[in-house]
Amino acid sequence: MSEIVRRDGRKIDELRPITMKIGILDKADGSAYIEQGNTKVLVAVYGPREVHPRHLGLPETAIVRCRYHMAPFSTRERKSPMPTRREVELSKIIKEALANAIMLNLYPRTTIDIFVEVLQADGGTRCAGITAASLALADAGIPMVDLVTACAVGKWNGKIIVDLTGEEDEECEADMPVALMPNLEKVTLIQLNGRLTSDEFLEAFNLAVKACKLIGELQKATLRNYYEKIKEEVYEQ
Amino acid sequence: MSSRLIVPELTKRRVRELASQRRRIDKRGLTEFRPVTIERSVIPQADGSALVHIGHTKAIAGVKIDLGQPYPDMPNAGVLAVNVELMPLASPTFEPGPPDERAVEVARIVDRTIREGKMLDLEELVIMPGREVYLIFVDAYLVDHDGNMIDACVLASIAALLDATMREAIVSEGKAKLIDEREPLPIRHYPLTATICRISDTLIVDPTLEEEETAEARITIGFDEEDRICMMQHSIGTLRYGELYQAINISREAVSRLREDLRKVFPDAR
Repeated sequence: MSEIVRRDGRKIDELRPITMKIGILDKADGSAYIEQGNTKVLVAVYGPREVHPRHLGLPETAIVRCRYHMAPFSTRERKSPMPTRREVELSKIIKEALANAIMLNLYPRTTIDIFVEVLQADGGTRCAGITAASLALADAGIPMVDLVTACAVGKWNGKIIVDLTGEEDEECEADMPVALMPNLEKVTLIQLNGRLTSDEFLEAFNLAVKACKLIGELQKATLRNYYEKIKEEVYEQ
Repeated sequence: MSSRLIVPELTKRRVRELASQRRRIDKRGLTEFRPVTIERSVIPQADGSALVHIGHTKAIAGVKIDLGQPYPDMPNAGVLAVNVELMPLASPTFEPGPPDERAVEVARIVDRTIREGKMLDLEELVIMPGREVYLIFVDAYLVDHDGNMIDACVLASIAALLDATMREAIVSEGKAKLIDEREPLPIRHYPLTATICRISDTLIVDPTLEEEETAEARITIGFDEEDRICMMQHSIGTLRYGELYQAINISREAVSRLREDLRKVFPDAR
């Protein structure tokens, strides 16, 4: 696309290396782990299960609860384990970004609990968390209308770039996390910090859609590989 | 969930029916705000304050300014702290206690609108780098909730900052002190937000409570006076790509009309 090179040598529309794993926790109903560059996030899903306290349950639908949390050792300086206002807000918007994809009416009076634990933060933690959580939900066998995939875009040094590192995030003029259901072409999360003209917004959004498509393919491949392996094991027996 | 107010299904159905005919339950235009009033200096004890009505929704914001230490990682910037309280007197669904996730979300939206919209020149608020800076506290209280609390809290906070003056600081013997002379805050930009909902595939501006409870999607978009987007927060449902572009155009128009209301009270505002 362009020869502008970023601090880590990437092109403006180039993602960091991504690895995804699912089914990595024993006790959780569904789990996933993602590494996106130096960002490392672990997600567990419990449910659908009984709601405690019970009065929170809804007669017609399941509820979704989410905790996004950063480990004290995940940042350069130790982060207090107490939830910050940022973590409270991100928990809410991650929950909404995922709940819109889940067929909640299939599980009335239950809860689906999502725990997003950031083990190492280097930019794009909420997006990596959403991408992994969607895999963990699939791993838990919870029916969804589409996978949710997320990626941040932003404006750095006057250029629209994709998948910002922590350093780029600190220096950038604007940062825009986006989560989509790529097959349904629907946005489930969009936030913007910083200033963009309408044209820059369009450019950034299109770049986010492109990036999410790529990440969505990786998600599908991860799921397919995992279940192919299980299938092979079953046949061998 | 206790945090949702029960709007009768009949009302919701009516709101949806009307929206599909591109009409609204209070007969407003689709892109029209409810009547907006802004009253400044309502709390003389505060350094700046404003009471805002958007229809029946009311929010009051106060600014308090003090001296203190900057954040260690930002020694050359004043401190801006925004807090939002959803007061129990504003709605049967609000409860006393520490701010819940809704209040925290609104507070962070207001904070980002001011910060990323570059409303204040925080570097101008430094008295002694790394040691003594102005601390600007913005507290927005929602006092009556009839929908669209986000725009009400943003508008009240922006108006309170425009209303505010700070005491001048003098440095003597290496210590900073506030004197009784007052000066305006270093205001650089005038960001404002507009919230859009989708009901029956129709986009509307400034939802009432009934509309908000019926909405399939909600997004808040902030613009500065040069029409640059400075804040965005999608907070209910899902949006199609095209709707996002539409929402930006609608909210830009709505914000520029809201800016006229602000200018009536603060003629210097751009």
